[in-house]
Amino acid sequence: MSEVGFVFSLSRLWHVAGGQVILILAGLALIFVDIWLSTKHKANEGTIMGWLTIFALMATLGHLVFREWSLHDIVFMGVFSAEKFSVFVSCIVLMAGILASLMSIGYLRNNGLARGEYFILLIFAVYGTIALVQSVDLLMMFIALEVMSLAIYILAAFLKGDQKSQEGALKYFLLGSFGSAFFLFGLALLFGLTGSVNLTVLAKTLSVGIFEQPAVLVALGMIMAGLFFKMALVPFHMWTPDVYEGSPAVITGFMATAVKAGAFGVFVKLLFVTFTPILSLSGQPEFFTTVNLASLGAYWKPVLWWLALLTMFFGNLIAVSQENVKRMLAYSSVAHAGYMALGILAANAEGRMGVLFYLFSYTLMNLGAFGVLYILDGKERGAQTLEDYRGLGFKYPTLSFLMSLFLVAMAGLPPTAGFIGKFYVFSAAIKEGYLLLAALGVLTSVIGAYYYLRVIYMMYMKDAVREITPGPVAAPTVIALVITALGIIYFGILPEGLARIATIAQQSLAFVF
Amino acid sequence: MVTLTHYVVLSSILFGLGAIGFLTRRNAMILFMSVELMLNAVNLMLVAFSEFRADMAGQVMVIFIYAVAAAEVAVGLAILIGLFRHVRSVDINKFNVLKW
Amino acid sequence: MMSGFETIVMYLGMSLFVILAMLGISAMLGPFRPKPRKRTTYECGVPLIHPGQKRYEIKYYLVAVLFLVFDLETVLIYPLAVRYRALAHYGWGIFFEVFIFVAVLLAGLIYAIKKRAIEWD
Repeated sequence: MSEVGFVFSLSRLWHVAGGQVILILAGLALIFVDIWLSTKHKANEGTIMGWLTIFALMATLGHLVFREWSLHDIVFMGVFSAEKFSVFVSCIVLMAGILASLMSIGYLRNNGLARGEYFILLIFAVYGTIALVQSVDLLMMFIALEVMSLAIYILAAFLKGDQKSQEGALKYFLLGSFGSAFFLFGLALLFGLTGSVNLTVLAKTLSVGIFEQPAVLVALGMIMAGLFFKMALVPFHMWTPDVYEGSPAVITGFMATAVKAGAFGVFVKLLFVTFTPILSLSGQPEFFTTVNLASLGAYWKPVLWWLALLTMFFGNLIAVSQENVKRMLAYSSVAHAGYMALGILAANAEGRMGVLFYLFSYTLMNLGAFGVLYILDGKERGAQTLEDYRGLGFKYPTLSFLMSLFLVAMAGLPPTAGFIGKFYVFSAAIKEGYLLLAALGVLTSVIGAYYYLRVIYMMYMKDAVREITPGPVAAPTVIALVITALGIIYFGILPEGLARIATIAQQSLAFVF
Repeated sequence: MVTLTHYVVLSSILFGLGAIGFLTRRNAMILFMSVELMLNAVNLMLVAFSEFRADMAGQVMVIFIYAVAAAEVAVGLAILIGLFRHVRSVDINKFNVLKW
Repeated sequence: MMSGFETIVMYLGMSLFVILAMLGISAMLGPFRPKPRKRTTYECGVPLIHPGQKRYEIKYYLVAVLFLVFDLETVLIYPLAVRYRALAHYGWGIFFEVFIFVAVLLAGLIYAIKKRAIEWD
């Protein structure tokens, strides 16, 4: 290392990245708990492991909210940072993790899969995502990205006897590692050009003007391409529908929310810390530096414009022709990534705030939808086609009502948080003059509303053709569904509080260390 | 005289070969190997840059990338075995229960 | 700069030439009249019991995967071992860092043993 002057300080590490420490220790401890449980208490293994996981995630959430939220610090040889933006995204990830664990207890029971590894992998997936968001070093980002991805690959393949699950996982693995190879190539190029892979140092070096070199643009493009794979923007989305359909339903929900939140969070951080500082490096308005780097926007903005457009159109259009509800939700998740990309493209305070709000509300509604989906399923692949949803409305009124609520929120209709998120993102884009794109975005969300509402139409207006048997509803799943449903309505009616917190969170990107 | 440019060009070519191999071959094992080739092309470039800049950080990164690549292959092989039990083949054209 | 290297290149070239020449000349001059009997592995020996290429048992893969992980993680300890004296002024901190790393690996190994991943039957 060029500078060896690090101090081995556990207390400082605990102070700034304590959430990660808790998660790692919990993951390691749960490995042994799992060994013990699988010999002594085989029957309750899934439930006990699930509740321990939820406890660990709650402890991490507490640490993040009460300690790290007020910090603005960097630690561990300049690898991890604790600032409000990454803490906010980490909280979204943890929320997704907690909701997914709550649902997993019932899901594993319904599918006869009570295995402790599931929750250990889930903890490490959450850990990887949080480390990804908190890192300010490209190498650490890569390692965190891999920790997250490897855990998710295994979780996606968790249904051992199911060919679809295995196949989806393999496709995810192949394309995911292909994408991270691109990320690495960009990393290596940037290291050669600037001598560092630390975001702060990179920003300083790039602002002197060497960004005009084509090699820097290639490096930037490759790093972004690597992240686009995880964000599932359209030319990089090929794995998404297959993986989302194949994976266990709860894991699909987790992937569509937590992984997406992590990838979007780190993308925003990378973009606005390194390639387009909002204010300046030290918080002082150094005009020339900022202008220098801001002109990089001329390169990435057109790319993101097209990606956002393609993502919104393809995601929504292909979702219309899907007969399988799970696969339809996969395409809809691609479309939602397009709306979030629109918020990043706007590159103003409201856009970043909108992306954070959108991620938060999307996490609630998507996980809720997958929670209902797994119950209606009975056993995985039990009842997933649109035909199976016919006439459910009056037979299972509560489940159908919840499903309708989540779908209405995803369609972005008014009394829900989904509408508010879309509103913020679109208005930010219009403010920056992306009128055409915003108009096309609204058009695509009308297409989106069609296929969401079609499911509701099937549930309430058609008669059942086939008897389906929903699985038993476990108590933790009820808690998760109540939280998600109330959250969607609450943040749909009173969004100001969350919006204010998100605004404060995105401001922290302006003062970078 | 072998300059830095030679190394960068060589590793770019290796990376490109890996990418082309990934996109054109049909055997899942070959796809794994292509991805490994891409990662090792990056490693080669990092070592060259490390030597050029007289900065050991590049070589430290190589070690990390090795470790991550090993973990990746371990997981990938496990998933491939899981799928092999169903399909009895490693031809990716035969992995076709999921499609739009 | 290349003085030590040229002899090696020449040596490599010569040996390559000799090998190719031997193979090429024998292919050109030798008669080639294939018969099914002639094409077997042992032309004048015992008949084959089963084909030489067998599919490996799936257990090998599990062991291979475990070996791969544990083998390569040592790569991360090696640089510290080499430079341990130079890092000595960090005191026990550096020792504990390696210790934590090994402890994490050990946890994985114990898990593998307890889940009976490395038992053969």
